[in-house]
Amino acid sequence: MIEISSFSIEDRKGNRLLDDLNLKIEEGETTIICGEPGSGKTLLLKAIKGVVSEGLEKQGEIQTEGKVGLIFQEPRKQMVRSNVMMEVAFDLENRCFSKEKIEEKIEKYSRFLKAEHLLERDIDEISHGELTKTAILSILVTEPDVVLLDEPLSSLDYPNRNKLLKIIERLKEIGTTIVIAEHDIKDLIHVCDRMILLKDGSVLKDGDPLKHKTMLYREGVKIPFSWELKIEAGRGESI
Amino acid sequence: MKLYLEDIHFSYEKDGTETIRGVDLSIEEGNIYAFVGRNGSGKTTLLKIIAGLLEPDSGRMKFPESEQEPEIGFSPEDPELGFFERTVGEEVAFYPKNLGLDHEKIGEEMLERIGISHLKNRSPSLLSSGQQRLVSIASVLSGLPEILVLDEPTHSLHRKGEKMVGEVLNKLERTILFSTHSSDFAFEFADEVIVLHDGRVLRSGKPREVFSDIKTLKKAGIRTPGIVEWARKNSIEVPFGLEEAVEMMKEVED
Repeated sequence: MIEISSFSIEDRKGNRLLDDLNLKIEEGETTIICGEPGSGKTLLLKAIKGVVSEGLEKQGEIQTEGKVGLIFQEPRKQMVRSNVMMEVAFDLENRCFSKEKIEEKIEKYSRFLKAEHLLERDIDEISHGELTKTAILSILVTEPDVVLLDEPLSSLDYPNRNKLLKIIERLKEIGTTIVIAEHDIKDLIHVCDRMILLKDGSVLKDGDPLKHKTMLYREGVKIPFSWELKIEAGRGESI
Repeated sequence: MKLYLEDIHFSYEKDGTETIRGVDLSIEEGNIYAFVGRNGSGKTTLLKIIAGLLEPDSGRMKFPESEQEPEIGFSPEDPELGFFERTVGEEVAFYPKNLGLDHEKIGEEMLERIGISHLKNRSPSLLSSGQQRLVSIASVLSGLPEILVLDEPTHSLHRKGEKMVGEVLNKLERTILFSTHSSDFAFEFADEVIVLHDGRVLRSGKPREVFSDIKTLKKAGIRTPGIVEWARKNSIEVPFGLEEAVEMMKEVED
């Protein structure tokens, strides 16, 4: 569970980047945060994880229950080691798990993600899609209760995009709380329970995306072409 | 500015494994070219070769109508890599200033056209990735290069940002080459689509033709644009854009 109470963030010049957010995300819920560039999507994920950059002033409170894992927009930026196996073991080593326990967890979750073939590879030689998978594996081995994904789809090609969507579905099946920041919800509609639309750091709409298709479109969120067409033809209500 | 690529080869590896494995292309002046294909198909590498950031191992680039190499502007996939000024306004005015042009006027105009005037006094490195993308594009455009090379120009952009970038590119009357994973964007704004697969050109042609070729799309791991999928479902000819599709839908449904 994530509880955000009267939460705001300002930069040094006094620009309000997040503005008095009050949100409760329930355990096991899959939520998409959408909104235009600069609306605060990434910042909100970072705030939930507790990794907001220095120099930004926070007010209010965010409470999270359980372990939280964040997958960055550019997964290479979160890699600290040169080999996939070593990278995936990093957090577990820091938590002082035994060698046997670490191997057991990596084996279990690399099978879950079908990523066994990546373990011996070097970070520098794997593709972008494989990097995303490695980042997810590094988070999964820590058995997080909450997984935060920052625009996970936009830099992936179509086959990798489909693979990631399957992974998200599987995380949902095992009851993980998932929060995804995305401006393209075409492929996420069927997995998400809730949409939070941000504008200028505030919540513009919070609810079922299927009930707010026209608003999502007007705010610039990417939606299925068939919806777009009907909205443009003035038949949005028939979708 | 016309540009010919002749049998370009390139390898990052010492063992000679090639990322670009013999690419021939004829780029016509004033056209917009979209490079599409899987992660790792060679899009970024080829664009960097064209922009002069990588030297091909073999093959030639020719500019048949120019005695000297033309100005080529490049916007990288990670826009933050290209920033070195304190504010967005200074960043966008950088190229015209160096070229001795009226940088204040050009900078202001470009901020306005890309819709980021409100960010003028902000630090580029503290912006969101979508905003950084727009700043990167505005700063490349402000140098008024003869050829524009943009690596994933719509990555991190929402629908409105994507449309704005596409419309600005369309009005520029420059030779433009960009890579993208968004087949919807390539369909709407490119004159020609070049499909890369394993470092080679698998197919090229007009968007309606290339994106209707299911076999090519499947092999190259490319998503069918929404408009093509819709036309196929309704067994009608692929429209040229959303407006035509709206009219066609009314005819189909009425």
